[in-house]
Amino acid sequence: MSIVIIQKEGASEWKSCQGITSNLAKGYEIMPDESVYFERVNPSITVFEAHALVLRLIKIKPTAISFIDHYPHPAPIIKALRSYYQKNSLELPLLVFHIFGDYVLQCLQWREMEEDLKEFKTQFICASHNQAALIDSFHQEDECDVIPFPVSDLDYFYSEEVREKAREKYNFKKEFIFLYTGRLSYQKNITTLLSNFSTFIKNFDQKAKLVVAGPMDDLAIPYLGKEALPGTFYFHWEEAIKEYELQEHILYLGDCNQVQLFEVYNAADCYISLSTHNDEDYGMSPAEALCTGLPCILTAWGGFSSFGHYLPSWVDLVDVENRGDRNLPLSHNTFKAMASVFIKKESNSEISSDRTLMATTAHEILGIQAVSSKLKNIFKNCNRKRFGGYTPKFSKLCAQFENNPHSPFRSAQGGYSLFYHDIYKNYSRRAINKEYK
Amino acid sequence: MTKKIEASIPCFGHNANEETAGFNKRNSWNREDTLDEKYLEFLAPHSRKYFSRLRPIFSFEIKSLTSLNAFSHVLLRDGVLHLLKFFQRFPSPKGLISKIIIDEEFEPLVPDSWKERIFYFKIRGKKEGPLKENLFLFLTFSKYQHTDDSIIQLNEILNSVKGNVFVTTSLNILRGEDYLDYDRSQAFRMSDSLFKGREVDFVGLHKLGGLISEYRESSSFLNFNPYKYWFSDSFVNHYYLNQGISNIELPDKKNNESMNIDLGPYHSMSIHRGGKHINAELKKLLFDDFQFPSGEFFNDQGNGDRNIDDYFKVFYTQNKFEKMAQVIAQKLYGENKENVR
Repeated sequence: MSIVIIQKEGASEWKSCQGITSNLAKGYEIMPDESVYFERVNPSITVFEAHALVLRLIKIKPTAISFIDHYPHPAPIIKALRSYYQKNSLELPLLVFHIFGDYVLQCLQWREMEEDLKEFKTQFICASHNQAALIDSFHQEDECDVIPFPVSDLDYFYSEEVREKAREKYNFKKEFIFLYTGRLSYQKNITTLLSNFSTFIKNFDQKAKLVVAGPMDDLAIPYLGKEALPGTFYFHWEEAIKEYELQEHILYLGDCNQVQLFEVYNAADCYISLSTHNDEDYGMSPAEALCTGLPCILTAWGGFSSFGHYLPSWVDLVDVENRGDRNLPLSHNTFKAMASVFIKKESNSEISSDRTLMATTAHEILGIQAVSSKLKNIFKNCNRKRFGGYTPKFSKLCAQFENNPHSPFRSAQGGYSLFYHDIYKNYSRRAINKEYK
Repeated sequence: MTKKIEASIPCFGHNANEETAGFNKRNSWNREDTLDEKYLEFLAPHSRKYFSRLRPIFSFEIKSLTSLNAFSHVLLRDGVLHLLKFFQRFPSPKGLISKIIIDEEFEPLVPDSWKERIFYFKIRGKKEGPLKENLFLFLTFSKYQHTDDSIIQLNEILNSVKGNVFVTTSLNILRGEDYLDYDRSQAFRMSDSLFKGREVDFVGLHKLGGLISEYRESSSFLNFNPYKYWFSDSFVNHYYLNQGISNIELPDKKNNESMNIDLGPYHSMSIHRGGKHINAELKKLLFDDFQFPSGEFFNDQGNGDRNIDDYFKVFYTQNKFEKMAQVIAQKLYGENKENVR
């Protein structure tokens, strides 16, 4: 088979996507018995550039074309492909789409190419089970595959030596270290995390620390049309730390590079994220944490639930409830999970071998090699149908964006609409009832 | 002393937070008009709004001095020009109960009648230090922004950069004056003299994020504003500092105590009562010779009639006033060339 991989020129603006795309590319590159070609496209690709790309592609005669980046949207390329192939009566290649968290945000662009897509055999790949359920609810007949975004085996692994050196570097003695890495944003329920951590140190272990690494952003709630001035998130962060009296318990490391993240994952004792963000389609940070053998406390939300499915002994999922109009983690479940992971560590004398085993197991599921094998299986399936079109729910979704581009999910009362809760209802699932095909 | 500043400029607690939230709902107490729109756009991206407990605003946005009484304090983002205009519009703080915070280097411009109301700020990066290997340079092309001296000063800085220079530029031309080609040609001449034969990368502001995360630890930034003519508190500084990139350390004239207000994880503003920047020569020129703020040089009215809808007919200051402000800005910084801003 000849497979062409389409990715964006230059790195993504989103840090997590930078790792995802390069690791996915490596996964394709090491697939045995396949000829894989890479094409980089301009982020603001024009119709002319799309046409020039198609002229390059026909020389390769690809049997499949795989889109592994979230940007630019494939619509102009698909249009140019359809036009050229049909004009020249050529057999159309299989189209493979790796779906990212911004699928909903880009719904109008997906709708725009519905008629073009119907001419192709397609395969949509989601990184988590809950996201696959979300996308399936928008597609008439097609079922998404689930293949995680891969973690590099070389970048993230457990090392006792690295752990000791990093703990020394950060002056951690014997205290228990909770770790959050990723964007610090309203979207990630960071103040909820601070409040839960405060309950833990007041009621359970006064020496524990919360280490936080990642850039702060001021994206408020774009889906509700709520914006924030630059610097607003820092204000709320500072206020919350004061209110919960956490000054001595928080270490903010800023925006870390890959090596610093690798060190701090090794140094920590538990990764925690209580995000209920609607774009939480996977969770690159928890995936990296698991690959360094770090147990995780995660909300049973979006892509996080898949980690609970893959590695139930090491991932504690906290149920989510609807409070007001927001989805939030249950506080007592969070406290229980934090206490439980603390007790487990304190009573375990075999931490090193446990973490090594956990990191190895995580790599067997989330590593580049593992993902590469799953990708290989996709191309073995010869019985694919053409794209069957979108559902009425998808049409309604598009109408929300068309009518209210700045607040598509805002209810009359100003909170999230019932439609928002309806489309994301699968995100609060714990049970995973869908296996790899 | 710090406690006294905290009492005068309350930044924390429910009352202060309520005032700050109220201040940020700008349209409810100070609706943007044609004049605001024109000058905020002209000064962009420096004029972009940001969140601060110190409540930053440009003085040309203030329609009534007493409207500020809803807040214990505000910070003026003005450069020399607009601050002079502010003191001309309001020669005394009559009816005002709020405190006004201005750039610490503008202390010689403050009339005696205002002294008790004024506090001073200085922006502080937590990572500030000497020039590192690479430089992120933000360069504003605008009238009165540069002189031959400042270009020489910038050239010297560029000569000392050992690694990459990433340049982001902004051409600021006041609408209604954009038919004049002078600013544009000045920008080309200046670019030519600064960058001819030198390898630099020109980068748009929206593309800086990725580059900064790659070069953060090995870079300094400089938002080159040699005379602080148009602005003193620029959004661009906050943007770079918020990304964790270091600013070039400024020689600090220490005297009394100050209060520190964090604006992000990597930077803060220190607030003090002044006494650091005394410039007797300038004060004599300004207050004795020019009779600021009531002397004849300061009777410029601009066309600040805020009821005019025509964008092109609203001018906050006139040429004569602007040129005089340039003289004062150069006097303010002329003897101070070691200060890189």
